[in-house]
Amino acid sequence: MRITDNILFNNFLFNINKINERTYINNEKMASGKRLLDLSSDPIALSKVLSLKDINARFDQYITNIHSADSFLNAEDTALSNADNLLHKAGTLLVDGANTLNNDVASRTAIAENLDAIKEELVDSANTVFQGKYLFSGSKTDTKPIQTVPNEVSVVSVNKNSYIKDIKISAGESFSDINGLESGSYQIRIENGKLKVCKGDCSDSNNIVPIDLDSSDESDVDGNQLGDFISLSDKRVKEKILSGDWIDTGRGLKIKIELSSPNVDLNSLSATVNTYYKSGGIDVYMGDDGEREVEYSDKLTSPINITAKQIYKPSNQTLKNDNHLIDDTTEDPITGSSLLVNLDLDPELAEAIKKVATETGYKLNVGDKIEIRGEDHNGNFVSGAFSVGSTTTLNNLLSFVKNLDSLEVLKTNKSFKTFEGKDVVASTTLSQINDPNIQEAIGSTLILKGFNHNGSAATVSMALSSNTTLASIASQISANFDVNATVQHGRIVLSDSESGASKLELQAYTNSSKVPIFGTFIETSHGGSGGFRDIEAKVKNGHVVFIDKRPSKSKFNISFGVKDSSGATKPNIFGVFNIETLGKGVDTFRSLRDASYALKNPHSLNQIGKPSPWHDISNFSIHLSGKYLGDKDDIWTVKVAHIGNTENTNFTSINRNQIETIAASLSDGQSANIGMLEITNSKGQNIAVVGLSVGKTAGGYYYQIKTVVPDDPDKRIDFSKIDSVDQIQGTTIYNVKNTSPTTTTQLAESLINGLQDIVIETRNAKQTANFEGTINGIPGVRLSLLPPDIDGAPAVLEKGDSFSVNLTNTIEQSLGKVKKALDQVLASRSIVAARTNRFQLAKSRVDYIKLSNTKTISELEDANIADVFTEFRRNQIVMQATLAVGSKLTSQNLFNYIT
Amino acid sequence: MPTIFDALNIGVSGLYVSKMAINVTGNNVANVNTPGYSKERVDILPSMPLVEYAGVFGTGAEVSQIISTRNTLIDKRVRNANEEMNFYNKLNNTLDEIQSVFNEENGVGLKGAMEQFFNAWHALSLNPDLETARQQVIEKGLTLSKALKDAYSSLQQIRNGLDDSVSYTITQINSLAKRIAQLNYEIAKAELGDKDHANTLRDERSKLIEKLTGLANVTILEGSYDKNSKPEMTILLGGMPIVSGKDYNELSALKLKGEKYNRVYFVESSGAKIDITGRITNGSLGAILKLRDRTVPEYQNDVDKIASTLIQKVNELHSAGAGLTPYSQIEGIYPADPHAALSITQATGLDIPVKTGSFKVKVVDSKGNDVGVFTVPVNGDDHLIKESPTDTHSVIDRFNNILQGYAMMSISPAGNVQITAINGYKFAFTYDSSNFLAALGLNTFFSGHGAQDINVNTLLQNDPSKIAAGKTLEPGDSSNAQKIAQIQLDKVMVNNTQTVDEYYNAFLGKIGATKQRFDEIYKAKQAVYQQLKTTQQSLEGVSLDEEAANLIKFQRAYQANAKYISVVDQMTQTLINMV
Repeated sequence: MRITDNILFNNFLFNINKINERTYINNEKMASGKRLLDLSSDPIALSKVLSLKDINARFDQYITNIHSADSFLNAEDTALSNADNLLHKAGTLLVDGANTLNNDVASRTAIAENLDAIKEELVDSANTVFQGKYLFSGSKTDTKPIQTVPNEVSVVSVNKNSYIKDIKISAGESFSDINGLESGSYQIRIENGKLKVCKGDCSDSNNIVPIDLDSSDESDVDGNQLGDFISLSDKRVKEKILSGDWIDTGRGLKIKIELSSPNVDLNSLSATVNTYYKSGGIDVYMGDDGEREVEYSDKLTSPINITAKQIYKPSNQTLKNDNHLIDDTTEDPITGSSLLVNLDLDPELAEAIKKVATETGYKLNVGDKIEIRGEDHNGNFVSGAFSVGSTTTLNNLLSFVKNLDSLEVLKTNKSFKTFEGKDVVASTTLSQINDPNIQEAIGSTLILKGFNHNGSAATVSMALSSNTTLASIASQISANFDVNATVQHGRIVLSDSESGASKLELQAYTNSSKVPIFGTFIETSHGGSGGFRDIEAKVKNGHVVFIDKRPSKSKFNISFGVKDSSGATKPNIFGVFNIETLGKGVDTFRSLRDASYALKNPHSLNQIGKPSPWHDISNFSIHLSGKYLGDKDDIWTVKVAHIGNTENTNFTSINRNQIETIAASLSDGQSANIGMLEITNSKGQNIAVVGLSVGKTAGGYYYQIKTVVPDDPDKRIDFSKIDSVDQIQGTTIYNVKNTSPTTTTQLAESLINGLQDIVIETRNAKQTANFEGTINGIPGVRLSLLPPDIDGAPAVLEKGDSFSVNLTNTIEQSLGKVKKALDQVLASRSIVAARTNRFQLAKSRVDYIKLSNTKTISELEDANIADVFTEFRRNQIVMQATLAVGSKLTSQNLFNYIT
Repeated sequence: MPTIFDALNIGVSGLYVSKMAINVTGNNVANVNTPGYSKERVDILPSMPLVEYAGVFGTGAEVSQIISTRNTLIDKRVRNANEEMNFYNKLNNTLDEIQSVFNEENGVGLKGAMEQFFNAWHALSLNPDLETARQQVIEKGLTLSKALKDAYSSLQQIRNGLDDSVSYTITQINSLAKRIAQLNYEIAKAELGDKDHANTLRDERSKLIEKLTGLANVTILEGSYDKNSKPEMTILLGGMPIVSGKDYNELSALKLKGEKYNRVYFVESSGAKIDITGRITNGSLGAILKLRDRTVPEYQNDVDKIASTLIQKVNELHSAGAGLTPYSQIEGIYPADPHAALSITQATGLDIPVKTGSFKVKVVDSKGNDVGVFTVPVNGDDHLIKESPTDTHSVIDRFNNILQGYAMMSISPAGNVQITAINGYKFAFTYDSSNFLAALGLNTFFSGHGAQDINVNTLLQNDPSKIAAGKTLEPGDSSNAQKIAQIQLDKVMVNNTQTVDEYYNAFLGKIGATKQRFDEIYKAKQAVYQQLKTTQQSLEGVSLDEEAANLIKFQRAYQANAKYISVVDQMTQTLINMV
């Protein structure tokens, strides 16, 4: 090849350029330390680096999130551990308080003051502010979570009849297991011996607000029972009216009725009071249930907040159906306005259901019936059926459910067995039943007497033969009392045919011997408790959610069943309503407040429970009223311990016949024992013995009821050996003598009706204490035994029959509640700890991934300095060589040699 | 029989030839660095001999012609290589520019802005009630908007710059064409005979042609119409003769008929213009057009897609949430045809199709107490305005029925949907499965449609409390902020197969890979050109050594001839002295 000078020179320049370019890139790499200098350096490595850097940048954010969550959780834990300490202190103080004597007012007051201070500190702790916002108020971070908002009531108008001197309305704290009224206009109406509270006007029965049935707080004993009205003739209520106490609806509204005279018939009272009520309460939770979620990894979030409600307040029982439902017109999760016929299941769930139902057979069709069954807060039975129409929405169904009232259900207080020891069933004949009363009744006539739902009286008689089945008795009851009578678990069960307040009552006894052979039909579900009116229903994320607005322990449950237009059962699209949140827990602040109050005002808040039904067939109804003065929680058992007899009789129960027979055997100046009731406490000690006796004087008959508190409560009383309470060593605390009856029949009647106001406990027992007419300030518990109010029905106290009743002491209860409150705080702390742990694990994982990503990025992106430097050296050497060669080449020319 | 004077003549011819040869050698040496110069050679022939019966007597030498060593084949190859090299050089340079737009350190920083934007939402989700967190979301939203706008407009500037180069290059082409035509005329004039000896002119023309090929893909034809006429040079660009012999036709870069960018027209002598833009595929102009019409718009489109996706996705979530304070009045920002079915974007003119679903309006009273949450169902075939008394498909009508007494929906004078609370109530949005709110621009975070006009809704800029961090108006509710932060992880691009990050990474990867490819091709083309240039030099270039040797050779020849003449002179003197 011919090489010209220009070739050499151009080549030289080209080479130098090339080396320069390489050196430039080399320099850049050295200066930046990066191998990837621009987008085109290595696009594949670049895209990898970019996505890894994306991940790292995101992870940096997660670490920030985790740090922030950590400090939030830390603040929560600090506040909770403070609460923990405070509650421990409160517990110790309460133990001290429980051990001080009632009359040690100074130390009790001091302890109470301390408790008050602790409560205030707890409230402060619940209202902890972290980074300028309330820590425990859900998403309402600008709202103080625990606040005292006084509830107020103002009277708009009063309309009363002349039997009422004055009527006063006041606002107070609602019972702890009842949700308070919402703000609004309420009417209080008193008529026909009933007191009702209605939202708006009482003329519309739909406006009735269920209120506490007996106006006494039983939240610690068995829970308060709601009803459509408060019966003014209820023992406890009547007592309150006569003593000038407030009638508490349990919902924050209290009424005081002043009678024009003490002897006014309560049934003749009439008043209409219109009020405006503003809701509120002491230390109520004003935040919401909002969760604050923190994302700690891709698409992984965890809530970080816990609300003061969760920590310090009882939870509300919440049910949620398990099937996730969608609206097939939008494919979105259902909303309240979704039409029922458009309800559909998630595709996955639908697939599963299609295996058992044909195609879309599980969907609701027009004409389908949704049967609703369940129990309200107190366990009262609620049922109803809703028809699916073409335009009915889910909201229609839910408001239908919310308007369902409870159904009255009566059951025999005794279950019967056959001679084989099995529970009786409908087809069991009387001859098969292992019960002496029933065996004895074969051949006689059974009287079924009572009232139906509306209070209409009915009487049926049927001859009993050995072949008479329980089913035939049940069908007689069903036909005449408008109920559905069945035999379940050995008991006869009467379900009212209509929901709502019911007057249903039944006595079944033999015509001749007047024995209530099935015992008493007792109420197991109260009709007119309001049913699901205190249930909140909502649609949330494709699920139907029911919340019992009454806090804490609840029997609330609900189930749906679907039937097609032909009545056949079809798959239930809603699925099962499971408990999402269990109703439980206590109101910490209230417990402390109550304890403090109780220390300052001993026994003021002690509660008397509802007595259990008689064990066996005694059919007097039982009422306990007054105040329990014990320093401990207790369970009293009242037992028919002794039955009086003449020499020739062998009575096993106190009844009219027995009284008449014993009285008839007396001569003037003589007296005889009719029977004795023994009251024992949970330790088996004898608290009191009530003795009933009759006597004859020249003027006529008398009866005497006497309560004696034995001197030595531990000493067992052998009732087979004693005839009269007078033989018991002790203090008489109650003694009433009625001298009016002139005939044995009158005597029997007045004694049966006189078993009221028996005082069985006083603090300062007094001989010949006479409580007649002095209801105000009764220092003790009184027992009233009322015979059945059905004319002609037998009244029986059978020997050995017993019932029991729970009694509570507020301080002891508070101690228990503080322990529960402590548990709640500890549970909350463990939630916080679990979350902290979760974030820490997430952080180490995120850190680890970040580290390995950084390594990969460095491998891909960073220049290897050794390589770069070596290359630089090489370039330098090549450059020097090229320059040397170039300078030599271009300097050599033939012209140089021409002379 | 030649005379002694003939012998003298022979010597003189030798001197003359040698002098000529030295002259050419000198010229070669002088032009050793002249671009386009091809080395010249003297073609030396013996003079016409005398024919005697004794034989043929030579009469010395003469210069037949001066030959240029031009090799037309290698010239052609160099021109082709030059064309391609320039094509890739231009592509390469411009991509360098584009690449620097997306450089995170000193470019628009779109990636960082995107990252920061989502992080600001994260921060807000942690502190939904913190005023600064809200302000940050606005600021980062503005930064992101600006980054997107910058990216788009930087590309636009590059595109405009390319457009300017089109007209500039056309001017260059025209001037080259003109000079080539001029040279053609001069060459033809200089070579009236049958010899191609207008070497300098041809060298000059060759140089210009090479320059021209660097600008665009030209075809060079040289041929004669018939045997008698001399071949003429024709240069075609896009099939159109820009030079034919001594004539040339101008190209012009014009924006006719409202075009946004210059088109290249071939102007016929009649004045008619033929669009040849699409036919220019090589040389730097080819590269400019390719970049201007395909590459840069494609990148702009990608950036726009990122912007429009972000606008739509963020808005869809944001519209369905509530801030700290409720609205008493709101006007949408996207006007729609009030009669068109809302699900058909072509008909409504909206970016987001409304689908069957519902949205929820929370109403609070003047004191901020909850009144209720109202659900407004929306069907895909709904339209805005009630068209007849029996029309049940009007969203406005339905809204006004459902929220009777609380709020009114209507069409504003600007054609937007507006909602006005009445009777002292206020409202907020808590849910929207229909995208109705986002589509019509109610309660949106961004305004605008794409990278050109993206911005943070001025409503929010003026009142950050309206940022919908939650769904309930509660200050601690951050559920919505969290969802918006998670858009970063959602596959929302390319039929829901890529996240925005992945799409942007792929976009950067695409630029990088293209640049890398062009870079490699350019280097290869450059090497080819260099090689061909070397070959051309080898064939046509001046070698000083060679010229020095020639100089010596011709000097010696000259000396020899001079000696010969002096000998003949002595002989002549001898002869004269004899007389």
